[in-house]
This record gives sequence, structure tokens and C-alpha cells, in this order.
Amino acid sequence: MQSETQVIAGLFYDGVLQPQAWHAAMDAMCTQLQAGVFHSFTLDESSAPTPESAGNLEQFGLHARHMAEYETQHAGNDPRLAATLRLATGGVMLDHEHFSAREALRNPVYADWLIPLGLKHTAGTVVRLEGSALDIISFMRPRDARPYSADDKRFIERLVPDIARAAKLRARMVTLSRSAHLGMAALDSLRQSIVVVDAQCRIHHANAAAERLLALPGALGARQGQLRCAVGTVHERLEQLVRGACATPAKAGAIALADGPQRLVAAVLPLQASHAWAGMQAPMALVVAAMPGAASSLAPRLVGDMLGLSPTETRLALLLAAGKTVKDFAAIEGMSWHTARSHHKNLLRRAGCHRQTELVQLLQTLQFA
Amino acid sequence: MQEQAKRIAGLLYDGVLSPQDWYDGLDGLREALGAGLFDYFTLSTISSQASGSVNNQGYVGLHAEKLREYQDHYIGQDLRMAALAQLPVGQLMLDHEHISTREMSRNIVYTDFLRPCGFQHTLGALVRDEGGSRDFLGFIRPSDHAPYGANDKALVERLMPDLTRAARLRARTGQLARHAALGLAALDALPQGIAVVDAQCRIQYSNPAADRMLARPGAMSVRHGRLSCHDGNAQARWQSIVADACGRQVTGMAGALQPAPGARSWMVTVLPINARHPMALHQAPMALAVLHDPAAPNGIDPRLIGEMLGLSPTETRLALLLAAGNTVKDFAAAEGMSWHTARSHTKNLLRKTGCRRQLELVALLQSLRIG
Repeated sequence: MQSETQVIAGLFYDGVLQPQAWHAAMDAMCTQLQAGVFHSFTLDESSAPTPESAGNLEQFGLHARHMAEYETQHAGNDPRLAATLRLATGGVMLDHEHFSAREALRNPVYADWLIPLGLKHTAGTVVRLEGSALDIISFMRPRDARPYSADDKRFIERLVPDIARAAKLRARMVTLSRSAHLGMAALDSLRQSIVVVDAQCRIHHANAAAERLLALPGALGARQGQLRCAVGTVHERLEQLVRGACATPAKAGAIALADGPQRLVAAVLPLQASHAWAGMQAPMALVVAAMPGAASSLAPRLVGDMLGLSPTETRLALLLAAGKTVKDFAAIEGMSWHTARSHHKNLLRRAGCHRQTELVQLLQTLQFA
Repeated sequence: MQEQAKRIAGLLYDGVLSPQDWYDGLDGLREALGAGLFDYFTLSTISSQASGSVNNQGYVGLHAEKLREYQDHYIGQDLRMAALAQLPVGQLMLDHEHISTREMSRNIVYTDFLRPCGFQHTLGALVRDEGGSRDFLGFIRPSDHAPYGANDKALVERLMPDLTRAARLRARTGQLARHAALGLAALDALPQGIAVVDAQCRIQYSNPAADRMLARPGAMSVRHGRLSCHDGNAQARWQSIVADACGRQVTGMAGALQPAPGARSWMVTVLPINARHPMALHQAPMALAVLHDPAAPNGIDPRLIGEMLGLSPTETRLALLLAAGNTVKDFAAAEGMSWHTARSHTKNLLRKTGCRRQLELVALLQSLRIG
């Protein structure tokens, strides 16, 4: 018996990272309690992310429409839920201890929903109460089964501290995964090269664009995990700027990493430790590299896709960005000024621009976004 | 023993999020084992560097230098580490079962390091081995104590499943926290306005630069948690751009959004966020919006731009005017100077920034401002 609860507790802890282990733990409890159905779910009024719910409702023939019926018609006046919430944290609710069989039969949740579905006696407990979020687990026995016994209650009570601890870890893991995913994926979606370095220029993170830039031979590269410039004097200046951004008070700076057609500039910015949890005790700096070429260096396909333009409109947009006029465009394309003007109108409308300068600015922001 | 093991396991699981509980859990086990010293540390299998040590060395009079001394001089010759390296995760190592008394008396780790510090017998285990790093745990008894016995072994073996599981959870939490901290701090540091929204334009994250932009009157603001445009036409356009970026396999969408007829537009670029990112966790599709208000240089303080490029205050003002789409003539008029003087400022400005044309300068400023 002791080892059985230990195994189940272990499954709950494994369930912090693996939903199927959480499911297996609930399933094992369900078997031990001779219940037919189990359900583990989160109630949260805020729109915060919640852990996955787990249940075997479908195995018992309960489908989405039954759950929808429960949520719309019964959840609001479910005496089982109300009784569970009235208990102190860690308390186990056995339905027959809170209302009589007569009361249950008169209640629509039992009469119109549970019993027709072949279920009756319910045990439930709150395993997490944090802010506006509530994690609840519940077990329902087939309708012809006896109410839960004192032994059943003790069995649940023995497991509650471990389930509560695991539920807290699981919720924390969901929040952390989300923040980590959001930050990393957002950085990766930017087209600028972004590298997080410490005061010694050691790379702690590089976004997807930076990984590509560093892999190519060029002005900026990585050697043994350190950010390095190809030219010694430029590297010294970069090191100096990075140290400045990591110092207190921190200072931002900018540097031209390469001149000429492959011009590459970088801004070195201090990283505020506002989100610092474990692992970011050392001050860090952000190196953001961009190629400030003319907007005409943009790939035509990208411009066309992003602004939703036709190929002709895209060519016109790139010419305008390079400082040419609508007249030049008409001459290059061999079309009448009138036709060129109508392309121009469509172009501005599609890009949401009201003036040509706006369009040029928009194209300029595109290459850094 | 039952209750004791349960209490320690509880502390270790609480220790996944709380360093104090982790310490207390390990210290509780140390006490139960009659050891003087415990040490929990992570060894990188790539660099062989030890890190993240949790121990009670300060308590027993061993200080940081001692630990460094061990890592610098002794770890390579440590017979206990050699014995541990042969064992799978979760298997106990009692030093007297692997190392004879004779070997101990000849090994410098025992003779020159442990014994002078007053320690001898060690119970250790590898408790985690994944992703290029290994966690080791050791308990060391004072030299006048007997070697560990069957009871000690039974207690640690009983706790081992909890110990290895908690170690994995702790490592994973640490890794996620680090990623979250780095990623969000990096986004926070970017000078351009960045907002992450879902398909319904609900804001999931916005960086300080975006918060500043949205607090000022402009083309967009936050209403009921949603990023929205004031102008009806712009709002319809914005919603369709976001829906496209969230819904279809597109490279991104961009457009100008006008706050009101005749007013200056904001330039908005919306990029899809890759839902297949390794850290995604049953995630709704989201998009990243980069906000740019050409009228208001967002992000970096204009003075800083001057400082970065080594410009005089006048040249900085000129550079910012040019970047906002004005001409040298406009600058001369605004400053009340002759066109000739303004032109000479322009020449100096171009020379100092290494730009050949005005257009290049505008591009350079833009890249500094938003990057």
C-alpha cells in the first residue's frame, strides 16, 4: 500500500514535464479508488496559460458534447464543486458526506447529467490555489457503486501533499516555458542579428539571423564561443563598447564593423536584468547588427509578400525607395505615364500609405524588422 | 526512517523552485547520514567545468579557496570521481567499496586535501546525466567516523528516485528560467517598439519602447488588452495583417497605419512567430509587431545618437531632421542660419559618419535607432 502511493506520487512528479505521466497517475488513483472516471482540470478566470487537463471521460463514453452540456448547464450549480471549494486546501470532498442521497437525486447535476451517463458518487479535492487559478482533481464511481469509504479518503489524503507540490511545479513550468518560448521565438522572428554577450564577449544567445551572420565569413564571427571581429582594431573597440554596456552605470554605443558595400553597423546596448532569475547574475550586453544599405537591397519577393504587391508594383516600390521617380519607372518599363501613375496609386493603397515619403520610410523599416 | 525520507523528499521537490529548500533537503540528508559535509555540483561533460555548487562547506570551515583548490589541483586525481564515472545514474558509490585503505593512504586527494580538512569517507552518486551536463552529489564524514553502512545505503537508495527526479526538474526549470530571462531581457533592451500579439490582437508581451509609444497619442493604443488603431480603416487593415501573419504560412506583413486623415502614419511590420520552436508548448499562433513612428524617433535618446557617432549638438539636430524626412533648407530655416552654413554642417556630418550620400545617413540613423 505504502509503495503504491509512492509510485503514484512519482508519476505525478514525472507529470510535471510529461502529460502522459500525469494521466497515468490519475488513472492509477482511479483504479485504486474503483472509480470509473477521473478528471484533472484547471479553473482560471484570467487568460493565463493553464496546464493541460487530463481525464478518461472519453473512455467512459463521455464526449465533447457532454462536457459542453456540463459547462453550459450544470457547472454553475454543481453541489460537488461548491462542496470541494468550501473545504480547506488539502481537504478531500466525498459527496455523500456533504449531501444526502435524496438531495443528490433532486439536483439537476446528478439527475439530468451524472446518473443518465452512468455515474454517481464523486470524490474531489483542490490541489492548487494560486491567484485566480484552481487545479482540481475528481473521481466518479459508476452509478451502482457504493459511496467512497474512509479508507478511500485516507488514500487520497496521503497523496494530496505530493499532488499539490507537483501541481505547483507543473503550473510554474507552463508559465516558464511560455515566457522562454515567447522571448526566444520573438527574437528569432526578427531579421536583425541579435547577440547577447557578457562583459568578456562570450555569446550567451544568438537569434536565428545572428546564427546565419556568424556562420558566414565576414566582419563578425564567433570563435570558441566568443564574438569576434575580423579586424583587430575594430574588435578592440567592440570589446570596449561591450565592457561599457556591462558596467555600472551602463552605456550604449555604436560601431561600424565593416565599411564599403558590405557595410555592417552594430549597436551595443546594456541588458537590464529586470527578468533576471537564476543564471543571469552577470551583467550582459546586447549586440544588434544591421546592414544599413539602401532599401533597394531588399529582396523583391520579400517586399512583394510583405506588402501584398504585384510584381510590377514591387519593382516600382523598389525604384522609388532608391530615389527614382514614377516617370523614371514609366521609361524603364516602357509604359505610358498614365499607366505608371495607376500602378503608383495601387501601390500606395495596398501599402496603406498616403504619401510617397511614407512608402520609402516603410520600405526602410522593412529591412530592419 | 519512513517519515524522515518523506520529509527530505518533500524539501527536495520544493527545492526545484526554492534554493533554500534545496539546501535544506540536502542538509537534512547529510544529517541523517551522519556526514559533516555535502556537496552538490554540476560538471559540464564538454568543458569539464564545475558549476552551480550547493554545499555546506562554509559551515564546516571550508571556504571558497579550498573548493577552488580542489577543482584546480585535485579533481583530476580524485579516485572517488573515477569510481563515480563508472556507475550509472542513481547508483550509490561508497568509497570503501571501491577504494582500498591502502589506495586511500596513497592518493593525494585523501592525504593532502581531505584528511588535513578533517574528512574521509564519502558516499556519492551521479544523480543526473543529460544534455552535456552531469550532477553529482557527495556526503563526506569526518575522519574519526566509520565508513557508511547498510542503513545509510538503504536511506539514500530509498530517496534516490525522488532525488534524480527532482534534479531533472530543477535543471529543466533553471534552463527555462534562463532562456525566459535572456529572451525577454533582450527584447526589453531593443530600442524599437515590439509587441507580441495573438490572432485577436491581444497583447502577450510588449517591450518598454512599445509601452512608451503606446502611452503617447498616436496611431495605436491598448484597449481591453488588445492592440488597436484609433482610425476605423487603419484598424481593419491592422486586424487583417495580424490575422494573416498568424494564420497563413507567410514571411510577414507590413503596412502604414494612419491615425487620422492627414496625420503622420506609423510603419508596422508584423512577423509570424514560429510555433514549431522547440520551446513551444501547445501554443496558439502569435505574431510579432515591430512599431515605428517616423515622426518620433523611438528608442535611443537623440543625444545618445550624437554621442555614438561623435557629432556636435548642431550636427545631431541636423541628422535627426534629415532622418525625419526634412531637407537641409528646412534645417537652415529652423536654425535661423544661412543655407551656406547649413551646407557646411551637412558636409561635416557626412564626413564624421563616413556616409557619402544623405540617403546613406538616413539609413545609418535608422539602423541605430531601431537596432
